[in-house]
Parts: sequence; structure tokens; C-alpha cells
Amino acid sequence: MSSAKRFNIVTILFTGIPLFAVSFGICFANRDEPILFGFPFLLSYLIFWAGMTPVCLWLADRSARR
Amino acid sequence: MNSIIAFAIVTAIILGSMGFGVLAVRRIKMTPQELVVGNRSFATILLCVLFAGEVVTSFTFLGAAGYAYSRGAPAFYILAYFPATLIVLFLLGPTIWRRGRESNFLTNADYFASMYQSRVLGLLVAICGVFFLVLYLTVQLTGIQILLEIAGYGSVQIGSTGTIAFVLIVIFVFFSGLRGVAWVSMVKDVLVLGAILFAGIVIPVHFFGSPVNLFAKLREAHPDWLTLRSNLLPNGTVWFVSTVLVNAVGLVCWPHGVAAIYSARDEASIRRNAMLLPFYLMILVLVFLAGFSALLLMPGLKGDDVDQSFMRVVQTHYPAWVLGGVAGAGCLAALVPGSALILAAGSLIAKNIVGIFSKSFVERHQTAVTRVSVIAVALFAFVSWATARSTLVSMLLVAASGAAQFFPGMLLAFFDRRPSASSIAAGLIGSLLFLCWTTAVKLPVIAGVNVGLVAMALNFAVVGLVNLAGLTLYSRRKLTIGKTLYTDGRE
Repeated sequence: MSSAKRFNIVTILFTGIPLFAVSFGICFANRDEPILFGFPFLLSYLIFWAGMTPVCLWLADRSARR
Repeated sequence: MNSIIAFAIVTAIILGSMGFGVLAVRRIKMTPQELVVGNRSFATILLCVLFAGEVVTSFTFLGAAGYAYSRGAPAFYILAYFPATLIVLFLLGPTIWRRGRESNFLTNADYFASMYQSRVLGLLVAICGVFFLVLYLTVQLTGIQILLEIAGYGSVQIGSTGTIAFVLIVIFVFFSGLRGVAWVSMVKDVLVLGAILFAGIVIPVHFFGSPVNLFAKLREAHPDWLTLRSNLLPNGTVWFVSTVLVNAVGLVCWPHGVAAIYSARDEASIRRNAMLLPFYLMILVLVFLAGFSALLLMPGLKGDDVDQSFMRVVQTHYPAWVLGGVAGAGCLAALVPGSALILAAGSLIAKNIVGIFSKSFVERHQTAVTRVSVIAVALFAFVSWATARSTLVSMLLVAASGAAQFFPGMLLAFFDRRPSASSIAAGLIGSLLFLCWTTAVKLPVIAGVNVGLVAMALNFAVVGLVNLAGLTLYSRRKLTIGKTLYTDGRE
């Protein structure tokens, strides 16, 4: 299993999306509303992506394995 | 009386968990491999708690709440950079691990020395690494000091208690090595989880009815607290993005992070670890809630005192045993990463600094040399912490962004056509000098961008320029750090 094989387009996509979301993505999420369960939107957004990161990494791992 | 109860609990927690760590490794023979990288045998769970132990430090525990208290939304960068750093770990970690295994690396300086075929570069990385680690260690010492001060209800001589705590961590590291640190980290994670659940759920529910009400009250009192300021202002969105990016490379750059990567049993454990940890790190949201609660309950703290914000609330409104439990968990959150830091610095000194001058000696007595270096590093950190604390705090900014400057060298080694060792060295030195300058003139952001990211751009640029110019300061030599210099009885 070479390292070159690991970095296919799906891997890049599934690692790139959450990485973009928690960095540049916050420029679009820097809002208080809509308020979910009292949490400001910026915080709910970051919690969402912290939870999505494992899912994305799992998908990236699966795609690289195939 | 209160301070005696709180102190007894803190002491019991520290001694108990350290005893647990030493017991867990009592039958294991201490080779350098075992001491520094746990014999490369940690499976997913042990690896997870080790990484969690290194990432969630007393700085996170106190500092994140303090940040939420004093600045509001900018504190959320901590929640953003943890997933980011795990994604970087997921991508780069397995390859770093594989190379470490193939050539038997123990430190991140080994990686540089071998990848760029230059022991001098290894020495430079080791010296910078030790410097950063010592600075980071002093943050943990300050964390312990704050916690003990609060647990003492202002009645105890802190200098002496800090010293005792410090002696404990040195003895612990000396005997247990990285495996012991990982086991203690397990206890630490459970206790920290308890403390954070208490601080982030019990306190808001007790005083405000629910987190929803907490936010409602916060919106009334500080309407601008829950969003970032616009683009270029300090702590604005540009700062946020650049800070997340700089911190994202942390786990593959800090020497103790690299040691944790080496300690994995296989590549899959590293990937699984990166997939699992974000769930655990979501508890940080509760730390923000604790900081926000403290802001409403105890407004007006200034300067360094903001780091004590939610601990002060616990001290004022809850019985001594609760305070003792929370402070004890916080102390472990300083001791666990502190131990990992000391170990990483000790191994850098033994292998990449002393080892360069007296190869055969270090080879024969590497465990002993590492242990002596551990004590030396610890003493050095402690003395500088006790004598020049204010200078250290200002230098800390250099360390935090400085460790990230290892990233260009780590990344460019992934390619078959690598830049020369001298260009990597020039990039590293250039960016560190730049960081020293920005610290000296007190310039934390340039056009809203975190200086660490600017320095990294400079770093890459210098590497490119020196390569284009074809400058080679010393000749390239063939050397394989792992197999020929340090066999550790493996080859």
C-alpha cells in the first residue's frame, strides 16, 4: 500500500471539506442567528463540524482502503 | 479547614494516579524505545488517551475558559483547531510513523536528520525543540500554581507546593516513561471529563436554570460576545482563520506530538485515533459555558486573573471537596502533558544533542542519558520559571508559533525531490528570527493575520529561494540515523 495511492481524489475531498469548514468556512458562519438551543450559530456550526470530522475521516479512510 | 480538605483531595488524586501509572508499567524493561516511544506498541485506545492527554492541557482547562471570559467568541478557535489538527494527523501521521519505524527514529530531530541527510539540521531542530518544550512546560507549571493557589483559599505558601508537585512529575517520568504517561492520562481523562461536566453543566444549571438561559443572559449583558468581530480587527475572522491554520499543524510538529505518533502500533491506529478524538474534544464546549458563566457571576477580573475565572466561582460557591476534585483534575491536566514534554525534551538532548558529540557513549547508556537529560530539562525549566516568569510569558508566543515552523520541513520531506538541508535550516532560522522580532515589538497580528502564519509563509519562501539559488552550506553526506547510529538492539 503505497502512500501515493492513499491520496486519491476522494481522500482529498473528505479531508479537505472539514478542514475548509473549520478554517475559512467560519467567515460564512460568523453569525449569532439562527439560534439553536440557545447556542449562537457560530458555536453550533463548530460543534457540528467537530462531529462531522470523524465521519468524513472514516469515509476518507474507507475510500483509500478500496 | 477548607484548604486542608481541598489539598488532601488534590494530593490524593495526584499521588493515586501517578502510583497507578508506575504500577501499570512495573514489569516492563526500560529501553530507550520503551521510555520515549512506548516501544511503538500503543493500540488505538491507549493512543487516544495519550493524544487527548497531550492536547487537553491545563491551558485548555483554564485558558479556554479564561479566553471565553475575557474575549468571547475568539475562544471558539480552540474548538475549530482540534478537528483541523486531527485531519492533518490523519493525512501525515501514518507516513511519519512508517518512516520512524523503518529507520528507528525516537525524536522529530531524527526525522529531519535522516530525511535531509544532515545531522547538523537535526541538532538545530533539537535545540529549537528543547527551547519550545521548556517554555511550554512553564505554562503547565503556572497552571499548577494557579490551581494550588485556589485550592489553598489564599492561605498556603505556593512556592513550596509548586516545588513538590514538580519533583513528583520528574520522579514519575524517570520511572514510568511514555507508557506510564499514557496510563495516567486515562485516569486524567476521566477526572477532567467529570470536572468539565460539572463546570459546564452543573454551574450553568445551578445559577441560570439551563445553558439556554445562560446564553440569553449573556446576549443581554454582552451583545457582541458570541460572534467574531469583522475581518481585519484584532481577534476578527482573519485572525481566527489564520490561528486555526497555524495551530492545525501542531500535532505533527511539536516534538511530543511526533513522539506520540511514533508510539503507535500501526498506521491504522493513528487513523482510528484521528477519527475518534474529535468526539472527546467536543467537551470543550462545556469549558466555554463555564467561562461564560463565570463572566456573569464574577465580572471584573482583569489580566492573568481571567484564567482563574471559573475556578473562582467553584471556590466561592461550592464546598471544599468539589474544589479539591476540580483542582486535582486540573493538576493532572498539567502533569500529564508536562511529563510528555519533559520526556520529549530529554530524548532530544540525549539523542540529538549529546549523541552528536559522543556517539558510542550515548549508544551504550542511552536510557541513562535520557533519564539524566530529563532531570536536567526539568531543573532548567523550573529554575527559569521561578526566576524569570514575566520574560517567559512573552517568549511563549514565540514558542507557540515557533513549533509550527517545523512544518515546512516535515511536509517537504514527503516528496521524492527534497529541498537541501541548508534551505530547511535557513527557513527555520529566518522564521524564528521574524517571530522574535514581532514579539519584541509586540505585534501579534499583521493585517489581521496571526504572525505564526506569516512566519510560515516566510519560512516556505526562504526554503524556495535558498534552493533556487543552489546554496549548500555544507556537503551532503549519506547517513541513516536509525540503523547505523542507534540500533537499540533491534537491527
